[in-house]
This record gives sequence, structure tokens and C-alpha cells, in this order.
Amino acid sequence: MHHANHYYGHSRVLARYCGYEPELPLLRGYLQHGWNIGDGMAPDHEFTPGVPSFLWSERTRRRAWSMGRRQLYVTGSPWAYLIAMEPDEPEQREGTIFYPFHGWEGQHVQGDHDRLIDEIRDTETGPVTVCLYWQEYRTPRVRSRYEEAGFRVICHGYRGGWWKDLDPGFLGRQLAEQRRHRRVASNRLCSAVFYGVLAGCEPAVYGDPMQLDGEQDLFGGRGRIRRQWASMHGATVDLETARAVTTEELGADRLLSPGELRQLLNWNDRNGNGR
Amino acid sequence: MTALLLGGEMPHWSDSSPVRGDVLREVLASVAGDTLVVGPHDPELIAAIPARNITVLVRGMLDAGTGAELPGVQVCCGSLDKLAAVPAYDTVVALDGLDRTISTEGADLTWSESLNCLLNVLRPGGRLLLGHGNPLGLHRLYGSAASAGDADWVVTAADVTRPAGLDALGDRLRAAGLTVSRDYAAYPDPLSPTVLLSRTALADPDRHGLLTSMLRRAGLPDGPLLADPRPLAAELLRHGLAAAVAPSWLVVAARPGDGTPPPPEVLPAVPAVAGDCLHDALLAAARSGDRPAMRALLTAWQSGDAATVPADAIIVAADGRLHPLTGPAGEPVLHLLADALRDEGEGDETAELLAAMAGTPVAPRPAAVPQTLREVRAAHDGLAARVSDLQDQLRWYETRTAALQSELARANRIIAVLKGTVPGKAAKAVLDGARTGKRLARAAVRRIRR
Repeated sequence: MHHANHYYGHSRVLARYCGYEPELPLLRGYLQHGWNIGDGMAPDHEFTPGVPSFLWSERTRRRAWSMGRRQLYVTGSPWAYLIAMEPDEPEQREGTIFYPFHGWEGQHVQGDHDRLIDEIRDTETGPVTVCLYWQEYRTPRVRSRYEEAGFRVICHGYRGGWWKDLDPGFLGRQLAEQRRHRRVASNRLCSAVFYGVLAGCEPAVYGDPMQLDGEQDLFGGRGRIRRQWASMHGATVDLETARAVTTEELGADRLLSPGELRQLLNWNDRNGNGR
Repeated sequence: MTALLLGGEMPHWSDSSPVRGDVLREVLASVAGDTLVVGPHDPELIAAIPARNITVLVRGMLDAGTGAELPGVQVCCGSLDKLAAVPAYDTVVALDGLDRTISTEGADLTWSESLNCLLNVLRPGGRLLLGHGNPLGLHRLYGSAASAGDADWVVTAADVTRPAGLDALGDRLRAAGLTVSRDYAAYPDPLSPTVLLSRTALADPDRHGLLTSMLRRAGLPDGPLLADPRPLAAELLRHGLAAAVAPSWLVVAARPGDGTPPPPEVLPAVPAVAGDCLHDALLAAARSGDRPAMRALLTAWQSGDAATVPADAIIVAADGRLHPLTGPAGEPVLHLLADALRDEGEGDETAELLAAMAGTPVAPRPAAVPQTLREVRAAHDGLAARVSDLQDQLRWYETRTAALQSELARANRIIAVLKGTVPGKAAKAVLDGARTGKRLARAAVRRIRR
């Protein structure tokens, strides 16, 4: 229904969980597609009255309610469903997967990549994989810097946009990559760090957080993230605390049964055409 | 001064209707030492605190911005559990209660845990001024159903640690080692009380007339109401229920060593007059059909100095003397009384009839705007009855008009038949001649007058 529902193949994961593989039924509502500190949706997300929102965590539901949103349902994140469907296979874990903070389509990051590279080198003891957003991956100037630093540089793929070039394999590739690493890190607390924790990595958040051109600190911004999720920040963090925080933020303790999810997403009476 | 962010603050939030009111200002008049104000309080209340060092804790960033403009006030923003558990304050003020200290970003504290956060920061000898809303208050019992607002992201109704009643609230504070020096029932609205009645005062039968008058004049709770709760005032006092169904409570409690005298038993302060409230005395006479007693009270009132003071602001002493508690009302007092008598179910009293009983002229009736569902319903029923009456009258006129029309048609037919006959024609000629003669005569008179 909303193009953002399909970012990163999120709706595909839920469809699979509900037993609708490989077809993709129409999802009636707005699906949270990334960790955020506001009402769960992107700041420019439009809302049609009467259309439900499906949120990752109870905290996000409360926040969204306090902001005047209604018809809110906590479903847990698609990532948590994926983890539930793909039990961890014992694999040799090594090194760190690092996600430099990125802008989204049309945004540009201001920051010193070289300084960040130095900070990663100073902190990490094992091999480092740097995962770039597709925009930066395709920018040789940025990509070569990380490669020249001796890091393995990868990209999980294109998140998809406006129902085109959808990539149902995005999250699966990300999970496989993360499970190869012992640590997950970023210079900003973001979805990827939480994902990594749920995938069994030890998290870290350090380094120049960089910023977007004209970035506004909505909902308290970076300062609030550092205060409210202080336990997720640092070159090493307490793993038990980080796991508890992650479980809450990704709603891993709130997963619904396939029956409940089908009911909420209006998938019991399938009449979708693949959108 | 910039607000201090403690963590758990709500970046987008404002508690737009803080607790407020002059009567609370009087309670705060004795606040001393390092003071912490917790929860949404009207800036005017904070400005009224005479203490020098004031810290304010709010959960919404928008309110932190407003509070930071107050001179000499340090504003903290965040959730209650982020407050450092150090006994740093001589007074803790939480007149709004503890419910609006919970943040969407903080832990789900129970009422009791929230109270502990306050007690942890209170010094030995320190004082706590704590408000507590009553879910069974008159404002709820008489309020209409309201849908959940933005502040109701989670419902705490099932919190078993929340004291149910003023007794339980006092017990909880005493169990924590505090002495309760004052426990008030607050009317008419938890957010904007205008009257605070201590339990000592409520238990004193000699003051029932006075307190009835105060409760009647306390005003109405905010929001749509099913009915006016004020008529219950006297019965609540007589049944000892005024504290139990108060919209909220307010306690003043202290750790051992507090030497400050407690605030007055009744706020706002009133002269101690024993007797009945005139309004209730008139009501009792009306209910029992005692017209002579009613006439005597009305006459004494309307012929004396207090004739423009509303009946609910007058105490009738045992010797029959009237003691006004306020100045003149802005509205004609007999109309106010007549409306109240009708609303309280005592027939069809009109201000005109009451004036006639008192032997005084009556002021014109002010336009009344219904305030409660009961008044709206009464206005609606009155209108419906009037419409029904008018419809009956209309039907009568329609029938009558139809009958007259058919009689007229019959008469016209007779005239037409008569015109065709010889005597008919002759009669017409005579009539026409008479008309001409009348015209000539009028013209002659006009000429003579010139």
C-alpha cells in the first residue's frame, strides 16, 4: 500500500512468516521500516486517516500515540521475524562489520571519512568489513578510501523504491553477512547495529558521527540518542544490557503468531496484486 | 536558564493544562528552603513560591522551554526515575499528583515507586505537598464519557499501589515516616480547584452550612457534564462523603523535625459563621411545601442589605440573622434561585413568583445558556412541549379556518343567487345609490373644513 512498506524486502519477510511465499499480498497499513526515535515513520511520511500503522516496539507505540497517532499496532520488526525463521547456524565468526552513517536518496553526508577510518583501525583488532549504502558504494571516491585502508567493502543492495527494483533478498544477505562477524559497529546508533545484536554480534558505536547537509535534530536528535540509549554507545558495551535494549527496540519480545499478523495486515482475505 | 536534560524527556510533548488556581497559591505561600516542583504546574504558581532555590521537573521539552523563562528557576526535563536519589530538598511540591510524571521514554513506575522517588530527595524535616486525583470524584461521576487523549498512551487504572482514597493516601505517607499535617478535599476540578476543605473542617457539624455554601460556590468541573453536581453539596456533608467523592485530594506531610505551621483548615479563608446556607434553607422549605417559612426567608433576604447577594453565599444564623459571605452577584439573584429550584426538582418556581412572595420587584431575566446535559435536556424538553402545544394550536386554527372558509363560500353562493333576482337587483341599486351619496357627503365635509 505504501512504497516504504517494501523497503529492504520487509513486507516479503512478513509474507513468508504468514505462509504466503512467493506471492506478496497487499498490506493494508504503514509498516515501520527503520529504527527511529519519533513515531516510527519517516519524518516526511504522509498519513491517511483510518489507515493503521504497524510498529516495532511498545515504546514507539506509546510515543506515536502521544503524538496524536491512532490505530497503532505493535508487530515487532521484520528483522526479528527473519531471525525467528532462520535459526542461528554455528559458524565461524570473525572481525567486525562496520556501517558508516549514510544519507538516504538525495542526502549528502558531511564528515571526515579518513578520521573515521583511523578510529576504526585504532579500535578494531580483527578484520574489518565496511558495509556502504548503495549510493556511497557506487561513488568510487568514497569506496576506494575504505578499500585502500585495507577493509573489505560490501553493500547489502538497493532497498528499493516506489514499488520498483524491490529486493526481497536484502535482509537475508544482511543476516548472512552479520553472522560471519563477531562484532557490529557504526558511528551512529542505527537499525544495522540493533540488527547485528539480534544476529548474535557484540555491538559498538563510536567515531565521528558525521552529519547530513542541513540535518535537523528532530525529536531531540543525536543528543537524545546518546542520552537515552547511552548503554549502546562506546567501543565496547555491556552485552547483556545491549541485548535487552535491542529486544525491546526491535520488538523481538512482541512477535505475533502468523494468524494474528494475517488478521492485522488484512491478509486473511487476499485480494492483493503484488503491491 | 537552559533546561537540564535528565533523560527520559519527551521532545515533542507539552502538558498543556497544568494544575492552577489562586487557592493553590495560598497553599504554596508557606513553602520554604530548597524546593523541587514536580509535574505540570502553572507558571503563576511557581512564581508564587517564596523560596529562593526552586527546581522544576517536567517531562515535556516544550514545557521545559516555558519554565526556563522563569527567573531564578532551574528547570529539569526527564522522567522521575532519572532524578538523583539524594536528599537535596526542604520542600517537594507535586500538586498535580504523580500521574503526569511518567514519560513515554521512561520506565513504567507504579504510583508507589514514583512516590519513593520524591521521598528519596526530601531532607529530614522536609515537607511534601502532594496532590492525588480521585477516579471516583464527582467530576467523573457527573462527567460524560470522553475518548482517550494523547496523554493516555498507557492506562494506569489497575495500579494497585495507587492509594484509593484520602485515608489510604495518609496511611501510605505515615508508613513512610511522614506526619500528615493537613489533608484537603479539593473541589470542583482536579486541575483547577477553587476550594480546599480539610477533613477536620468537614467533620465539624457547626461548619456544615459554611462549607455547603463554599462547595455550592466552588464552580463547575471542566468539560461536558451530565448534571450540575452542586445541589449535592449539603447531602455530601451530612453523609460525611465530601472527602470521598472530591475530584482530588491534597495533603501536606512532613518528615520529623518540620516546624512550619500547617496551612489553614479551609481555603480560601472565610469568617467562621455557624448556621445554614440560605439556599439550602429555602430549598428545604420548598421541598416540604412550607410556603410561610419560604416567604419569611425570602422577605428577610430581599428586604435587607444582602438582597443582591446570592442565596448560596448567605448563612442564616440560629437567631435568623443573615451573614453574607460575598458581595453582590453579577446576575439577578431571584432568577438564580428560581433556576436552581427548578434544576433541583422543586416544580415550576419562577423568579416572578419568588419576587411576589418577597414583596419586591423582579429584575429582567438574563439569557440562560445550558451548561450541563440535564439543562440541555430540560431546555430541549421545554422546547419540544412548546412545539407540541403550538402544533395543537395550529391544527385548531386550520380546522377553524376551513370551517369559516366553507361558511363564506356558502354565503357567497347565496349572494350570487340573490343578485340574479328582481328584489336582488333593486337592493343593489339602493346600495349603490347609498354609496354615491356617502361619497358626495364626505367631499362636502372636506370642502367645508377648508
